[in-house]
Amino acid sequence: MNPSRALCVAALLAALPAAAAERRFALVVGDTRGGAGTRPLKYAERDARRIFGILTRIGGVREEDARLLTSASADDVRAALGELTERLAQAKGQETVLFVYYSGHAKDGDLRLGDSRMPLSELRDALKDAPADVRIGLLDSCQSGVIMRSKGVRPAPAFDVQQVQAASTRPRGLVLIASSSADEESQESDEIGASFFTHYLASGLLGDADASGDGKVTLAEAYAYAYARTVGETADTRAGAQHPVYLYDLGGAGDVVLTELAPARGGLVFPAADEGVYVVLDGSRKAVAEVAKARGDQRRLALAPGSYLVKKRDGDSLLLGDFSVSEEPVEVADARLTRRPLSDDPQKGASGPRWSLLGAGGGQFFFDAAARNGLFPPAALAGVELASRDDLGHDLTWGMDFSLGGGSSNLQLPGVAPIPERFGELGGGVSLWRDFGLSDSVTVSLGARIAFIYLARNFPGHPELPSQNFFTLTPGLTTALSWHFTNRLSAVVRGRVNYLFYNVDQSQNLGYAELALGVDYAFGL
Amino acid sequence: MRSACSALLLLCAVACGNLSNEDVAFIEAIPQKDELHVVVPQGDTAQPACAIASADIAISARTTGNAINSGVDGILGLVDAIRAVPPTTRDTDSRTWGPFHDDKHPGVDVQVTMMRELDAKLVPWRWIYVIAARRKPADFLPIVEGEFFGAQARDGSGRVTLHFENSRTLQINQPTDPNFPARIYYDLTGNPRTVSLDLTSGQGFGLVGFDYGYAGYADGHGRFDYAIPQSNGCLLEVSAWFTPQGAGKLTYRALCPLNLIYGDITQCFDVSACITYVNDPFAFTAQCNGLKPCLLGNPASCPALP
Repeated sequence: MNPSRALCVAALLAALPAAAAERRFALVVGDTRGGAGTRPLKYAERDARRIFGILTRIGGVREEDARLLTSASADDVRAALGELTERLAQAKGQETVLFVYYSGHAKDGDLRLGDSRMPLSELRDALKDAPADVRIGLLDSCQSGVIMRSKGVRPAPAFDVQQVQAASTRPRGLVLIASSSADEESQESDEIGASFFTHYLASGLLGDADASGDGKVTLAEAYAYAYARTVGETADTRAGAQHPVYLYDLGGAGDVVLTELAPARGGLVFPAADEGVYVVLDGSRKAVAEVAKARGDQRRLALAPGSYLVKKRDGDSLLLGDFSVSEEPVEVADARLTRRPLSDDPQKGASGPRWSLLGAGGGQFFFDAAARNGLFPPAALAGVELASRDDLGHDLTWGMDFSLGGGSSNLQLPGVAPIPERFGELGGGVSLWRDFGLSDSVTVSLGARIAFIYLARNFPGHPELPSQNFFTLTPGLTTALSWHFTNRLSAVVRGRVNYLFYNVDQSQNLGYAELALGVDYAFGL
Repeated sequence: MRSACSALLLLCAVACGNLSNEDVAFIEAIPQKDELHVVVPQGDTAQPACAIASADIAISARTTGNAINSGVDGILGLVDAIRAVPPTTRDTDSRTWGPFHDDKHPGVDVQVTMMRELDAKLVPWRWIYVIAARRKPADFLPIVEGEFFGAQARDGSGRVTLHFENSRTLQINQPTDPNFPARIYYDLTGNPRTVSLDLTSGQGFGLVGFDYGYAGYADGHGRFDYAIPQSNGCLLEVSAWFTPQGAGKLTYRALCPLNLIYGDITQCFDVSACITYVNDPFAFTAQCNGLKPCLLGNPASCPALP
């Protein structure tokens, strides 16, 4: 029997719901750094956050029993494991499950956490010895199948259905699942914004692996689903097919339910009448789940509340639709999707513009001390910037901004008493920049801007002095650091450096900087 | 490289405006009308019945001061034009405004030039400005010539020559303007600030020829030297001191026909412009009824003045 099919059968026959008295613990580790000789991974931390979110939302793991480590050292992982082990010991008398998930580098039999290392055998032994009834290790890293070679642990091709049927007690033991075999690379995908294995594992846990349709995703279902999708989707990659492997050493009856879909409200429902592969994207156009279904099956993804874009390839075109998930399930029927050409694939950054509006406040400062005297004093500015992402190309954004500001100062002239002045400023410009994702939630952007600036000043208490003004164009550079703290909202620190040509009193080449803090709101996610 | 130059040229082309610290410095060197005004305290507006008589000589200080102020305003009003328009040309130490049309006088073009000199510390110490006007195709004629010492007019000193002979030629004069150059000297560097109008060459502004002088103190009191004609043919040359409230003390002498001179005669007056004390050894004052020496009122009623 095909391993994945065997897993599905096992799940259908023997899945038992998590007992009410069961208590679950989780250690989730993500690290993009592998130390010397490795290239940083792009999505390891995002993968960890996804799994952490799923386990704590629908996986039965309470927040206080879950630990998420990113950019941590091996000692940090040991300490977290030790702490959870203590908590497990304190939970004696309850049915307990321990999850350990790792996404990152592994090489030569070690997990690589930055410059520190943790032998896979050490992790295996820690899991083996942990005082939990069920210990589940999920490793998404290159050559992670090495852990299966460890002494005393027997790799198995699939769940032993007979064993499950014959047993009469709850499952107990150790399960290890690795994203690739001992001599394979685990691959990441820019298109889905994740590693293949974790992406399909997450999709399965969210509901697409629920082959039985009972609203529960078991360990066997999740593995079977992740195995099939990972092998299938990596078959044509340059690195070749990636084969997840698992080691199953569970005694007792039944399977372990990893996620329960029923307690989660809302979510997306894919009706039985439609078929195909649906990809669900979040606001940053990164895949959060997939559904691969045949006609006649209904699928439900237990997604967190938020806005999502669903795409489905249909022949030579795409079907796209925006959906907002809240309290009630939302049906994703093909009829509700809009047909678009393949060139509009949102995962290739061509889904059309994604608009956002930034409100920001800050200040402006001219570098030249003489220019700051009266002509261009430091000013406070507030403004808005409308931006369109991916309109001109993937990760390319153009924006249009306006700002108002001003202040007061004293004009110092030789031999003349200080002359008070009030000034106002109106500015605006167009920018083009490129976004660079530092992590799942942090983006740095760098680009160019051409702006106009209009300044006006008057002199209170000096009616003899006429008001003055100045207008010019100022080219410059713009950069920003954004932290996406919700699906739609980001905190932004923006800096600009501009050149200004001043020609009234004398011709001068001036430079000035603007620094602003703001909040960006993304539309149409 | 070529595109970079083109971009720079574009920036030069679109940079425009009058944002200029130096323009402010030039304008601050031109005296304002109110800085050259004679300020005579007005006192109480309602005058009760006076015990001795109304202080008509003191009251005439106000009308004389107002006449001088009107004359100064008429000429320095031209300066307002340069406050309304930015300089036409800017050099390091000079500015030119115009020529531009004078809205108040159709057919007349006005041009203003200012130059400055800086000391070793680059602080302006001397300013020279000329306001000239013309009716095309004639050449420009100077209407106002000024010289100023200091960095800003409000606390410097200088002189302004008002070329009424030219304003008359250009037909932009007021009917009461003199037809000869009049000079204003001012010193705003200390306390008091002084302004004098040299009309010794003849009549103007409805005033007789005289070297009018005014000293105004920061606390509001002041002194005004002026001359007023009398219906009997005499000319009174007056030196009056005023309190900030409008009371005061004046001394005058009367220059009468047949070279008769009476003086000095002293009067004190209260804020209602009523005479409170007269010391007239010549009984020139009508209320003396010809009795010499004539003492009227109480000398203690005179305000304490320098």
